[in-house]
Amino acid sequence: MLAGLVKGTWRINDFSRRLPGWLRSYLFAFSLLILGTALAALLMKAFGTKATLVVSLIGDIVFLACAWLGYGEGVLAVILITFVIPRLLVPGTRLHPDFGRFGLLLVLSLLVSSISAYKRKAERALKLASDQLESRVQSRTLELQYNEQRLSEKARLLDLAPVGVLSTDGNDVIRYWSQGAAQMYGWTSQEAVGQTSRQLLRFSVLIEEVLTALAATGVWETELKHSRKDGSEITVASRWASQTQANGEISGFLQVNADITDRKRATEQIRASELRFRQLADSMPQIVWTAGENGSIEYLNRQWHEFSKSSSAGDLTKDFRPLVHPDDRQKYIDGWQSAVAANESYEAEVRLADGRMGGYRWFLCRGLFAGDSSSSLRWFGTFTDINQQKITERNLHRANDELRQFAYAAAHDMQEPLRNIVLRLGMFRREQGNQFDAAAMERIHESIIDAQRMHTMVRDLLSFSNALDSPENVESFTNATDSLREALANLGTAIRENNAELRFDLLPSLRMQRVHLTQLFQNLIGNALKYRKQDVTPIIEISAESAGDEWVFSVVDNGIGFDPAYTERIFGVFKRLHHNHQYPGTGIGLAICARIVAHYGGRIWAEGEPGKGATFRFALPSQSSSTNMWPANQITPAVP
Amino acid sequence: MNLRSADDMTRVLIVEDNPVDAEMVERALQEEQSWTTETTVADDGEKAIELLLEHRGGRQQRPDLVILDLNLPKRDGAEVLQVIRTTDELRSLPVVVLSSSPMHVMKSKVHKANVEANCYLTKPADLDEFLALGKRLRYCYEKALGSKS
Repeated sequence: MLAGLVKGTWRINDFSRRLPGWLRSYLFAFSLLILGTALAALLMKAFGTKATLVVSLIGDIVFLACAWLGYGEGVLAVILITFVIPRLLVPGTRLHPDFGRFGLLLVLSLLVSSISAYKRKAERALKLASDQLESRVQSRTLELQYNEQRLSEKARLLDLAPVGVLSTDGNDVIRYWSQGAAQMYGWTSQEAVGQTSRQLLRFSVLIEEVLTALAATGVWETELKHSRKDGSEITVASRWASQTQANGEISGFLQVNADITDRKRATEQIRASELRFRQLADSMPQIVWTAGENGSIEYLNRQWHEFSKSSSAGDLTKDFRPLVHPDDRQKYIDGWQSAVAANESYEAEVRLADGRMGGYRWFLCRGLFAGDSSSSLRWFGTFTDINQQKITERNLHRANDELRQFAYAAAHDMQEPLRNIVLRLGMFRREQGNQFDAAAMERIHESIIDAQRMHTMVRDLLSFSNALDSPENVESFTNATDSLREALANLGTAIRENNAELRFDLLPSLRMQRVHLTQLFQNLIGNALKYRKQDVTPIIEISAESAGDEWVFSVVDNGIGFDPAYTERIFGVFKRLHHNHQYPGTGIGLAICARIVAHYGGRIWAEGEPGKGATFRFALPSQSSSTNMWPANQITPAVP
Repeated sequence: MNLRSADDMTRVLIVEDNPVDAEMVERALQEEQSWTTETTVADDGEKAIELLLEHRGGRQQRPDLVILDLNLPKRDGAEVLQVIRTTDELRSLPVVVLSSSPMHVMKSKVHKANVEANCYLTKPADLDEFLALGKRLRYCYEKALGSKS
């Protein structure tokens, strides 16, 4: 019930707040009038006229309270209530009993009302001022907190930065010394503060210069040598800013010093190394160049500029192409481009236009792919002048060709008269022989033998000069076992006549001409058969073994052997260790072997002792051999 | 140069510029007594070609066997062989190459002209060996005839 009443009052209160002030006052006054009238009526009924005084007193109090509370507009209404209505309700009462009291009350209420109004106004002003003050204090507090945080962050940043930060006053006395400075120089903050920076770090600056720069740009920058606590010297990049007072006077400096000693040293080392490279490149007789990614030319040494007569700034510094002989150009460009695309080394022989002498010269162009991903250098290259070499090579080639043709023609043409002599003398002996005595016939016979021997020598010389004349066809592999079998077939008669025993492994395949390999085996085995021991069955073993990057073939016999002193000599043309009557032959077979082996980049040598057999070995590069030809080692007695 | 004709006689054309060799070949053929041959010698390639082309139509005068040296004046042996192998009537004529060059040189010279001989023989520098060639020449000839029929 009470809660309901309070709630209802609050609702009325809520409602009344929405009304204009003056209407509220009247409503309030009338409400009081009704309440007062009701109360007065109740009091009068109970106490009669005796209640008049009490009612008047209550009316006065309410009236003054209204005036105090600022409901001035209700004052009149209350007057009506307290002064008029009780008299209306009480018959016989006069309408104007007490004007004196009424006037007093009116003055009093005006006074109370204006005091109350003034008080409220003052209170409002005070409240407003107090609110404003509080808000200002709050925002200021926040600002201060923020600034403090920023400052402490900055201070920490200064300590964190890998630089030495210090501030000095106008007399260069250190006032602040960062942790970075302590680490950099070795002095703690306590040790440094109070000293002058120039004495502590042992450096000097022209203060006028500093001031001029500061006036112009606000910052002065330079490179300085500073000393550290341990006496060592460091190079620093130093930045100075000035601190100024309100009156514009400089009160100190802020110095930020970065240690660049290592960087400086590295830069100097690079510069020195580059200088050395350039000196080296310039001292070389070759043209030296380097190329970066995409194959663009980045450096050319002095020789290039001298050769091409181009200035360093000319177009030719970036491009060789215009200087390459038109016949070589496309091949050069294609080759270089594919090397660049594949990041490979490059090599080519090209003719370059000679800016000094005119004409073209041959060069060997080599570009070594350096593949250095840490720098832009990709190719390191040279141009080597091979002009003289090229000319010599061409002349030599021509001379060789002529010599070969000459040797062939000479040998061939010599054969015919020799054969004619042999045949004619033979005919003579056969048809007219009976007309001469035995001594004359012996001379004829010897002449035939000599002419025949010479014929054989000429024929062998011809085959020596022809040994490598067969057309080059080294694309295909030759199976050495097949070559060996062919050689054995060619030697079939000699093998059968000597009743020789041949033993051999399966041999590898080599990238060489079959006719050459066959000839090698044939000559070496023929040699072994020729120099057999008369009372012993000749046994010849042929084998091959892999040794590093080559195959070593061996032909081992149990023949008469030879004096090791002649190891070198036996491979010479017409070099023989025995007399003709003992062993026939011209001594060209081993020379042909040596020539064939040398042609394929191999070696041939012999080992032997008199009476203990001989071993002939020859080594051929195995890069010219196929890898799949090496079955299990087996000895196969072979008679074709 | 008169070529007699007889059914049991083999007409041999010797193309050879060295008279000693030509004589030796004739003698070698004579050594083979059961083989009746009649020889004609042409001492250069041009004469040989003329002779061959002249008698190509006549069965009676056309040679049955050609013994051919390779190193010849005017036209060399390979050219003569080329003419033989490209002339219809002569195409299957048995030809023996007889040269002083090594075997592989001989063959490569002939093969370079894109033709083939029936036999290749080396001239021996020995009278007896040379005279023994008759047997081998006959063998080559008969083998060629056999492969022809």
